[in-house]
Amino acid sequence: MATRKLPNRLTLKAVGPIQSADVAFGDLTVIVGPQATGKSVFLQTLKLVLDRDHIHDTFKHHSHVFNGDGSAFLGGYYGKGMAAAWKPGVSELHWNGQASTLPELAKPSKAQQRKERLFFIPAQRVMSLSRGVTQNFGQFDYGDPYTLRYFSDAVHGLLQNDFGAKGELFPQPNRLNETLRKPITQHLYGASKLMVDDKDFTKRLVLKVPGHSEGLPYTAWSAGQREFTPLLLGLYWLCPAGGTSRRDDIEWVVIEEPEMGLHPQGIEAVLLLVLELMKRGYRVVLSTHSPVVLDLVWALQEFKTLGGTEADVRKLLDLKASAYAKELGEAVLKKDLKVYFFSRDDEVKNISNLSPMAEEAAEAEWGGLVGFASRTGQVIADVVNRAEAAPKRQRRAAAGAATAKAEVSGQ
Amino acid sequence: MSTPNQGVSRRKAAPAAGQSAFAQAAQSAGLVAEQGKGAVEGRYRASVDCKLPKAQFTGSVDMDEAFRVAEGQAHRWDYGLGVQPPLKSEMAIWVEPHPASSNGEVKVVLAKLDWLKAKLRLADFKRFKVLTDECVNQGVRPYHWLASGHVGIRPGSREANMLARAGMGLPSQRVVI
Repeated sequence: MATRKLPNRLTLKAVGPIQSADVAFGDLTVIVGPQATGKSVFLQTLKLVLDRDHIHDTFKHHSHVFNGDGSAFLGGYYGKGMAAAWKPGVSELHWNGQASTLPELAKPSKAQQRKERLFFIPAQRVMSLSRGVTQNFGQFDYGDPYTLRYFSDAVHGLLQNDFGAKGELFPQPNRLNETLRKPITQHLYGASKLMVDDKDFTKRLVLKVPGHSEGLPYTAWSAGQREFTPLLLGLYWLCPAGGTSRRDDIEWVVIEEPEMGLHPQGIEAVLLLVLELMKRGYRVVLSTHSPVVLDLVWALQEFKTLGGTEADVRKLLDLKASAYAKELGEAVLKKDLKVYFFSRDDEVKNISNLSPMAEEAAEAEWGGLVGFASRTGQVIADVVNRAEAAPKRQRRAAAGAATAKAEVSGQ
Repeated sequence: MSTPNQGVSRRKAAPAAGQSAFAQAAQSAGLVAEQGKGAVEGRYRASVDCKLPKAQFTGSVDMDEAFRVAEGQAHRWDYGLGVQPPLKSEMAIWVEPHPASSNGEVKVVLAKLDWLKAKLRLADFKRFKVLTDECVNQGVRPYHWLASGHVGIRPGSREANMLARAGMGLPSQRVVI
């Protein structure tokens, strides 16, 4: 893939809440940080840099014409009011060392290459399904983020065209390997099947529960199932059926908060899918608030440093020694992994080593994701020691008694 | 109780005047305290430090070596050190240099800590216990795992919680009191 040879480095200064970010992307890049630190703005900007003309063409295709008004475009792309994120004369943007500006990107270029390169699965993905029915681009309003509108439209197309006649969405033997399907069944859908129900002349997603003739409607699903299903559909879009391993033009996949609504075991199932995307050659970027995601990255970093093998990867992910699982383990150990920490009052930090021994708290506490766990351990240790220590008065008495005893035995 | 290698006699001399409390505690326990960090193996010495100016190490004992013959099969704790902070009472800290590369090492270190705590419950170690409790009283954690190399235990893991429940923090590459 051509992009492998490029540094793939995005630098932003004074853009929205971002003070300064210099991010060199790996095969997997994870960004962490508290709310309102600019993670989403950063990822949306990455998409804008890579897919500028595809985005302009998509707006035009859906009859959104901005007539050269950059602010209107930026409001339509990031969300209403976001044009103010760029401060002329102060803000800076560089992609692979080349300077650009948001007002410049807010206008289409005349480039020949207008194909989409980055597929974005947004944090608001649950809004792509309304009562189990997919939403197309036009069903959203101006000011709703483009990434949500476009993702929703892609899922809508998938359901209407690719799966329309099939009925059953999960499990689908020709979409994902059994190794990947099993944890999804185990931790996310149980014995239920994800189906398309069109009996009311509308294609609607339902869960078929064994023993129940009626499908369980979307509103009755668990929060985790509602969050996971659009993500699964997005992954189906990225992993076409049959012999095709990936979408030809798409090189990048951004998934915001893949853990949303999920139990840690569900997150593990999703992370397997992330590894599958990497194995297929996609460059993946995640934002996360889950230490489980960083557990995986830390383990892979350690395996790479310490000579871990695909068997260690399988053990970590609780996978049997199938040919596929071995291939997956070998593939991910060759990948370059990066982690960046976004904070409100400081520049973005590279914390890729995730070393618990790092001098910088940002790295040792994984951008705050294990900060509370770490503090919990410290406070508990202190309380344990206090409980085991004798009260002060008792200590003085004990010290006195020990001195007296030593004096007697020394006589 | 097992007898330390050096302290064959169970009758101990009365602590000499001017001795540090740590040296007196060592004498009571039948151990010989070395000056400063002297008992700590050279390669670990620089990794154990006091952050307070004018604080000093009053002595140290090599527990592992002292009980090597008597308790050869036991998981023995390595070092005890006396610390004299300025304007405060002398206290004792306990340092165990040990690999921390995997979660499996946690059980070994916890076994060593159990061994040490069992010693501190003995009558002969009462002075050490008093100095250890003083450490807690001053808000300083007494038991420290000095990671001898790579650290592979993350905060919040089950193993980190096991250490916390035993009164220890995560392993670190420096022990700074």
